[in-house]
Amino acid sequence: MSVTSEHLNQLNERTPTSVRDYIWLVAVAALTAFVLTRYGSAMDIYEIVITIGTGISLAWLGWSWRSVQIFTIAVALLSLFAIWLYGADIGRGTENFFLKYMLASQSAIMWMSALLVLSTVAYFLGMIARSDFGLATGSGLAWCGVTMSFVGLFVRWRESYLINVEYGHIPVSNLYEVFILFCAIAGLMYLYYEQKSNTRSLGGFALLVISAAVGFLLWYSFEREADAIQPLVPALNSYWMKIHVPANFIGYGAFALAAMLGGAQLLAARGGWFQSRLPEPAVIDDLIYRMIALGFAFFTIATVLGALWAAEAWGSYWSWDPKETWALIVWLNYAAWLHLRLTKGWGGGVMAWWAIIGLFITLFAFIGVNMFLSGLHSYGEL
Amino acid sequence: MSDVTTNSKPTRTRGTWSSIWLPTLGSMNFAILLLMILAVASVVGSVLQQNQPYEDYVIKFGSFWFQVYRNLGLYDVYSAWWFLAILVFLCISVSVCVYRNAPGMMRDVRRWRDDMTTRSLERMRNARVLAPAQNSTADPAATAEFCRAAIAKAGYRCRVKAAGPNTLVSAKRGEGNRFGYLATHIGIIVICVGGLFDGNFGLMFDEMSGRIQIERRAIPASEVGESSRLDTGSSTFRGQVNIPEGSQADFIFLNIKDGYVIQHLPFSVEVKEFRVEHYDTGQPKSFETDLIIHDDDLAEPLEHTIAVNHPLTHKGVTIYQASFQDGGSSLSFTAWPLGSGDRPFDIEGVVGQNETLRIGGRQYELELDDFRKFNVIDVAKDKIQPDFNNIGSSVTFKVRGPDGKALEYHNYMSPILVEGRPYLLAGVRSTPAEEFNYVHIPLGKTGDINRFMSLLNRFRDDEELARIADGLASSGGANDAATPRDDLGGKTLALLQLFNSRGFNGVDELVKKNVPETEHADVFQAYFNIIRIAAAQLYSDQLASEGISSGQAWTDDDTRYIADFLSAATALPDYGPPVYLQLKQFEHREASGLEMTKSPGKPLVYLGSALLCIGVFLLFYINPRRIWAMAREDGAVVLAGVNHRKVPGFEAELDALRTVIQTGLESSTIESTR
Ligand code: HEM
Repeated sequence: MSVTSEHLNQLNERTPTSVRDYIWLVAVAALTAFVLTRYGSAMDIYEIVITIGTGISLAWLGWSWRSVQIFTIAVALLSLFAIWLYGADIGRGTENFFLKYMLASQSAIMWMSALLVLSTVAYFLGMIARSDFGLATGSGLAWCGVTMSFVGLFVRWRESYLINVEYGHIPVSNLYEVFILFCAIAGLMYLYYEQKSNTRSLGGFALLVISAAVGFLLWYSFEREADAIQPLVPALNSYWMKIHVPANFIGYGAFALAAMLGGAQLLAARGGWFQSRLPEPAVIDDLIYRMIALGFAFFTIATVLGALWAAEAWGSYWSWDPKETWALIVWLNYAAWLHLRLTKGWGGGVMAWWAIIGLFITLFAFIGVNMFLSGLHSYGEL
Repeated sequence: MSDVTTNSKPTRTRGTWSSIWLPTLGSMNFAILLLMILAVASVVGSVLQQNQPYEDYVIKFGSFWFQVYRNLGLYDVYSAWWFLAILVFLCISVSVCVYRNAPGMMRDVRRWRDDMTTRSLERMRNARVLAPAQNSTADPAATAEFCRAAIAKAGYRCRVKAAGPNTLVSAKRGEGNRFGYLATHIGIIVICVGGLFDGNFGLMFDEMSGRIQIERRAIPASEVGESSRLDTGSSTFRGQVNIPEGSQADFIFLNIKDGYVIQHLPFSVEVKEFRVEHYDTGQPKSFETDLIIHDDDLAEPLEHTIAVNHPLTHKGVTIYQASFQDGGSSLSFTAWPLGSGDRPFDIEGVVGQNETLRIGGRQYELELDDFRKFNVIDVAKDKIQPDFNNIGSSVTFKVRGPDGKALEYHNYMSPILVEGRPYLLAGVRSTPAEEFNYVHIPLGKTGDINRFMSLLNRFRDDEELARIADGLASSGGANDAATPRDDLGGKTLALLQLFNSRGFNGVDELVKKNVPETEHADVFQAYFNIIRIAAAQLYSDQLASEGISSGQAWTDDDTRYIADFLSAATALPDYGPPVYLQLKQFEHREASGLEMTKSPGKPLVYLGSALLCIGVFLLFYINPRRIWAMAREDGAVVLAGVNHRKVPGFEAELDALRTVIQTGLESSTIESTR
């Protein structure tokens, strides 16, 4: 007897590769090739590398997480539709029905906000009522919300060029834009783990922190009118920004989710009402570890990228600027957490509390530094 | 970690050293303690602003705490000895950790662990004995081969070896994780070493041992003494210099504590031109400098343009666009004596230099600090779309009186429109901590400052005032029959003079002092009216002197002008030396602020960073694990595994394997491979 493919299937964590996955690879490769041949002549080396890198990441993401395929198509179609509607005239944003009420970046962000908040409510109701329907609704709303966040970012990117070609830049350059990025990335990350760990009952906790970000975003745009598209200050006009900031936000998003799961874990461990509605504490424990590991890995990359950028912009890869210093503090904090977890096998309540405290440290590095400390990092003053 | 290296030679001293100190230094608890201490120390450095002028700290903390904090090195935490000591200890700790763990890990990576016995396998926590079908005739080798294939399918590398009558399959996977440990920790060591290279300990040492003297005076670079200069041989530095357009420099300033030293460069840098490009909103879009590097080693001077985010590296020195200042613009002013009746006169100066001003027989020192060609502000009425506007050039200067006290001024060159009317803005403040307080000098419809100055001269002229006061007393004062006329005129004159010397504030204080509270508002209003009528009369005289017929009806513009005149006049008593400097002409000359660094440790830091990034992913996303399957001679299989990382997936993986092997054992006979 030999080991048959039937046996093999039992050994594979992943559902078997299907034709669809291959189509995905081919489609992404074809699209990347198309972009390079069509626009390659207008790109510099950075842009070519970034395009290829994006293609590879997208191919890999869709390959290892099938939901990304549909998600990407949805985001792409909506964004392209909006861009097509705009044509070359920013004014259409207030004239065209679809743009005005759905797809102009401002409207898309409003939809995102509404959907994510509703999703939080649905998740919580689903958890309280132990209703799969409620949880599934939460999940669906979250997917829609995250879709709108990406659409909002892409369309905003285009809008910045429409307002004035010279202003054009990827929307990760100020506090308003990075908050949208936070919602987008943290939302997507949560949805990934929701699928992998096969539980939705944690959704309310995860979405709560995202809703908080939405709250800030709304306050920030209504109170401070921070949503206007502004040209870049010279210091931010660098390719490093395009990768440094998103990498940072994978880190921030993961740490924020870890903290929320830490809260859920503490509640689940108290037994009773919560325990009966939440996954086993050990399962949550493991999710917290995964979140922090992911966040730590990307935060490491982001910090290194930041150092490379600083070397180019400020003349020193490390200047102990408050933002840098706090990035280091956050990093050291989670390094300590991971050591205790992995080599001493610590877990449970202490580590959950620590993950929660970690969020406050992260939050200070993210916003507090801009508000209270002065330094070289110029973007995003409140 | 259990795999502590044991290959150190057992000489007595080394034995003591390695058995007591190494474990402590390399221990996890010590490392975590260091991580946390480093984090807390960094907090201090980020919360307390670093490297500020020492006077600021004295003001903030008082002289006692200023001393204490200075001794702790809190004004430059990141180069304080104790902070560096933490870093060094961390570096040592990680090194020791790697030194102790690496050999064991490498051995472990290579080993197959194929010396397992049935007994030792059965003792493992997750061991299961998988029974064969009843009438199995399979020999252990065939069963082992089946297990090997199954385990290999699950992604493991396997080795099969006879173990007495049994056959052992040893399988392993994910050794990359161990390399991850090495890469992260060696990466950290490499980064620290690179950082130490660039940490400029040589300079710190020279400064502490007194070989290098910190210069604290603000004097021209050429006057700085030899003991405060570093020659071109320095291996690492980071400093700044401002070079005006058309000049060159072959040195930079390194800031240390509350002073600086001069670092000479192996070449000379000339600034040809500095440029600011603007967006159509007026916000800056880029800062660029055209440089010429003069170096004897070059066949001809090297021309290159640097910009923010686009530095130039020459001879290991990287030159960055860091800032810009005025590089000595030539300015010409008209000096308007404020109300003393003196004639206006012209004065010229260069930014960065001092001039002498003579006003009203007194001598003042004029210090020209800065000139800005553009000032961009947000003038949007609503906040929806910001609307940036260039409001023209401005100059910042100080006027120092004979007593040594100085006020700082900020004057705009062009009139600024407020609600459609032009004003010249003249800002004043007494300390840098304050905002400028702007006097708005109205220009009226004619757009000419002469009218304001003449009107002010009239208002400050006691004879004119006496005339006006008399006129007012004889016409309007009649409602106060008890007061003799002359006295009324005198009182009105005193009021106007009070306004001249103290503004409306002075009038307000007078009212508060002399009148019951209930009447404050009324009396103040009455006084205000008197002052306004006086101003109006003088204004009409002024118009007449300008040849404008007095018969013309006054418009809103005139009323408004008088109100503006009074608002400006009431602020003048606080304006300091009684002169307004109106900027007439300039010849702009910028200075480019360059930052220059030499950091030989940079490649090391980058190498370490790359190791760190790769290592972190290997550590987190490669899960090292081993599986053993012992095919016993009775046909059964003992299956067990270890997973260093205790991530849950492993149990499921083992479960699946158990099922596969069990099914295989039961479903069909495993044929002999022989
Ligand atoms: C700046 C200091 C350090 C940093 C940033 C750092 C970082 C890390 C990281 C990110 C991990 C991965 C955790 C994981 O396995 O998921 C790790 C693992 C580890 N670290 Fe460190 N480390 C530092 C210092 C030390 C020191 C001083 C020791 C010595 C005791 C040490 C021993 C270990 C060990 C034994 C592991 C586990 C490797 C394994 O079995 O997977 N680390 N370290």
